[in-house]
Amino acid sequence: MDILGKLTLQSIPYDNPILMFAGAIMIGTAIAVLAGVTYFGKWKYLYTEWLTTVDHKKIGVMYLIIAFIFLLRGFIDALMMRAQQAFASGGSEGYLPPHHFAELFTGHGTMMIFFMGMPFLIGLMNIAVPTQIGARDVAFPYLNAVSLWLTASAGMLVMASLIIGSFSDAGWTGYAPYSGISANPGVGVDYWIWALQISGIGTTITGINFFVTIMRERAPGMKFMRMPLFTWTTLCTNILMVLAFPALTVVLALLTFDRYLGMHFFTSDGGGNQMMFINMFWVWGHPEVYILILPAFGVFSEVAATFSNKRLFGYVSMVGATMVIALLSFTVWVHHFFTMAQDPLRNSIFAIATMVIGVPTGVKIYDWIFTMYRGRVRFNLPMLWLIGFIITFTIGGMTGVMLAIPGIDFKMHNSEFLVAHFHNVLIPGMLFGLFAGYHYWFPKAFGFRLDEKWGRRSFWGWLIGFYVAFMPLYVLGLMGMPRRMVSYADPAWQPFLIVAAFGALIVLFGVVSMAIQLIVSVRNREQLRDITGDPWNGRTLDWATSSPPAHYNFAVIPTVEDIDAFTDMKERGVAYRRPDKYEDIEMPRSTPAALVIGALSFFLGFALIWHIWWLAAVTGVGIIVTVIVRGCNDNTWYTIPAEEVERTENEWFRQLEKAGVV
Amino acid sequence: MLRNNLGRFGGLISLALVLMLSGCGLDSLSTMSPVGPVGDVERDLTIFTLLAMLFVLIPILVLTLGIAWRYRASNTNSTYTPKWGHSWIVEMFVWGGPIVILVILSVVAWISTHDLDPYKAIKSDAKPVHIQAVATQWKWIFIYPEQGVASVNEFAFPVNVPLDISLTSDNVMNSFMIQRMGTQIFAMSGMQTKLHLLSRETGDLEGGNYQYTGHGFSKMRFTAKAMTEDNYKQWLQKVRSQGTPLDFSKFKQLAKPSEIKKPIYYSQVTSGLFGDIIDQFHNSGVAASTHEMPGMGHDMKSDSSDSGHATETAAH
Repeated sequence: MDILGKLTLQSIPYDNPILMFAGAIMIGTAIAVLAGVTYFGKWKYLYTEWLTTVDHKKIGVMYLIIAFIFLLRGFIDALMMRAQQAFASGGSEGYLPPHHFAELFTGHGTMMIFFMGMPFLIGLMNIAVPTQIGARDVAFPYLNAVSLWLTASAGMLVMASLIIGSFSDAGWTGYAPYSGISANPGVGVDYWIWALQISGIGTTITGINFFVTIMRERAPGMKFMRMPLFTWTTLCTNILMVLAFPALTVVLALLTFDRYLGMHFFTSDGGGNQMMFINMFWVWGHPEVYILILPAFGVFSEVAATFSNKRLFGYVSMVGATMVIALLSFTVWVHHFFTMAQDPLRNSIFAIATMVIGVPTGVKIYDWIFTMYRGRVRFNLPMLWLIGFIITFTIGGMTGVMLAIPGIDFKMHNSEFLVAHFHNVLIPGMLFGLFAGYHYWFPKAFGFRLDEKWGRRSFWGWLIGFYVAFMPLYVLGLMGMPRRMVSYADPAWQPFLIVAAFGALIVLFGVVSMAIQLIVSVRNREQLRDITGDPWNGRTLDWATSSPPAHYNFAVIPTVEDIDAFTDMKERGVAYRRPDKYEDIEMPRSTPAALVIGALSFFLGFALIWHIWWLAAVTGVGIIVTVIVRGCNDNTWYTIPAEEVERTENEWFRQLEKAGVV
Repeated sequence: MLRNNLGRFGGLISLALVLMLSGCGLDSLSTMSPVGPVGDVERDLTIFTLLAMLFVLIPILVLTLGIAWRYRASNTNSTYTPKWGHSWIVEMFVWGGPIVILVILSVVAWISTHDLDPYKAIKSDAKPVHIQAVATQWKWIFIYPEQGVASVNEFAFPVNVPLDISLTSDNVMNSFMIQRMGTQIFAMSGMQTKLHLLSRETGDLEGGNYQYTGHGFSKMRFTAKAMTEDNYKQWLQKVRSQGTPLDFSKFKQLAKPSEIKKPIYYSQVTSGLFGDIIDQFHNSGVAASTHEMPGMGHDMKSDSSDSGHATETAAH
């Protein structure tokens, strides 16, 4: 069986009915989708319009699809963990064996951060940023597609680990030496490593791409201090991605050398240093927190201004606070391990640096509140998520400041208090922001709004569920319960864990409502249709296009004269103005190269995980050849003739006239 | 110094806190019902920070809900200033307020962190007890080098006597904590970390590993038995009489992955066993003398002295 490396029939966990059931659902769903596409004869459409596209709007939508798939998977993991801990008390071992439980908490963290959060925010960036800055596409459309398919292939590896082999049990942080080869000889950690490496490369490319896009592709007149806040936070996030992700790439590469080549970077023996793993991991890991949260802050800034019908309060402060947060995010990583026996001087410095971040964050919160002040606040769904966010996130920030003080962290580290805290910042700070963005830009991406009634149900499910699920964990932390316990002896913990499990069920109601909302909205799309392209009385250029925007976004690149560019144009009466004459537009051509690179990366990752060296060589060479062949292709642009632009624009103007806007 | 300040403050607020937490009560929150000086400071610090942060939290909650409601679109009586986006006074408060709280908390953090340095000995007239804790998969071994005994998953010590604990691990990274005594610290293979604790009260205290280490992680708990001096002497006697000898090879047997339900006792522990456990990761000749552990600040370097005591912590 050498030809298949370490892969044997025993690698498939036949004996685990839960895994087999989950695998059956996963494969069943995949087959159903493929069958559906075949039945409806949509393969050609799917291939030409989606799989090979380099259009940022469609790439954004595909990112969102990935994010929602992994949101579901990660959430199911969470439900299973809550169920386990609700029962496994006082001698009962629950229904999950320890290894499976460990895979669940590792998979939950890994998926929620890398395959839910990251694709979600990159998806929103793709949908909104180019139109916000008045561009026709990102700076490197083909690389944008490469990023997407690398993310997708890394996600596929995580999915594959469900039924072939197993996923890592080392926690999403994969601390060495537990993740080293001697403590962890299976393929689980290798799945984790290669999934993160492949998606990490995609993320780094995205970072470069959007950085250049924002630097180079802005419409005339859009100076830095006229950029919308979402563009600002995207810019800072992408700078962080470019600067921080290499640290992850390196630390994973060194761990790979340890595991594959018997080296000793992070081993206990041979001069390895396990503390270095933790340091390097968090040198990436803390900026990563802000990579996840800053875009959400950007969404909230857009939402606050738009739904208060008012200019954003403290624009300069907001921009400054964003940059300060981005900068400081590199100076606080030690607070993830105050308990590693640094001297008090070092711990104090990192503690204070951590609390300093609270200042610009506090400023942002006050600025959102003062944006509502003397406004006309409309409680549409994005606004609900904003208010839910401010209140919940402030509580999370409060416990964050507590944990930032080493003397408190000394007894709260690695406890359920910590688990409660980071969910208390990431769920409102990241997820609520992404949901707000999802509801806000959905009409822009699809041409119709999302149903309000089910949206409200979903919001309340998430909000109430969050409190019921996580407040008990704070108490458990104060009671001394460590995180990641598959079972526990202390019966006093159980009532709190039962309440937490019940909270997870309320969140489930929110998740299901969100799915129903999507179905209902698709069904009622004619009533929910966004005819004008400006359903919320938007303030930025993304609302100046039709919904969904034409392939080229803007027939004529607009000129920007204000922070709220579109509001300003509407007030001056120059919005929706027809040009004297349309011109030809050059747009990037679709290409299968990105899809091919993504597919080959999946097999390359799979081959490396299972030590199938011939396959690794073939796919590795294949990727290089694809890159070269694509690089030699000079015919990557095509022209949309002026007449076609005019036809498309006339069509939209007819709609605008019908709606009475022009 | 911080202890005193916080203590004075604590008198007032402990009452408030008891009211706040009535129902569950502080006793059930093990980390908030300390039995020693370290835990005391940590509890006071927690309460102080929590209250300080409430000064931030409550205004934000009130302002958010109040303003959102007051300026709802349907309330057309409220002032509407769509162009208003800047005010120096508001800016001063939104930057100034958090900065004031930051400065206060920074001072508190600085002082308390130095106070609570786990490497700092606890002041006491009593002579400290030295204990060497070794994390294995999935047991805690406590070596009493001066008494020549050891126990597994049972950590006995006299009350009102400072404990001078050295920690290491036989394999992966672990984290040691007895919640009611306070302060957790990592135990890492090939390295020594240190922790100083003290208990005023007798009784059985929950302790355990807080860093995930695999299959038996959840069972890697131990009982910390704080005893009177006499009971401690009796306990030592019991361990001596019931215990079997422990040397490095027996240790490696014991350290193999397993979970145990009842404590195990050892007498006649080979002297220098703790150092040998650390040194097993540095025994390749050159490595032992040249490999420093670049820990941060607290020097966790391997010292190649012939005794095999790998790590002596330099004072910082």
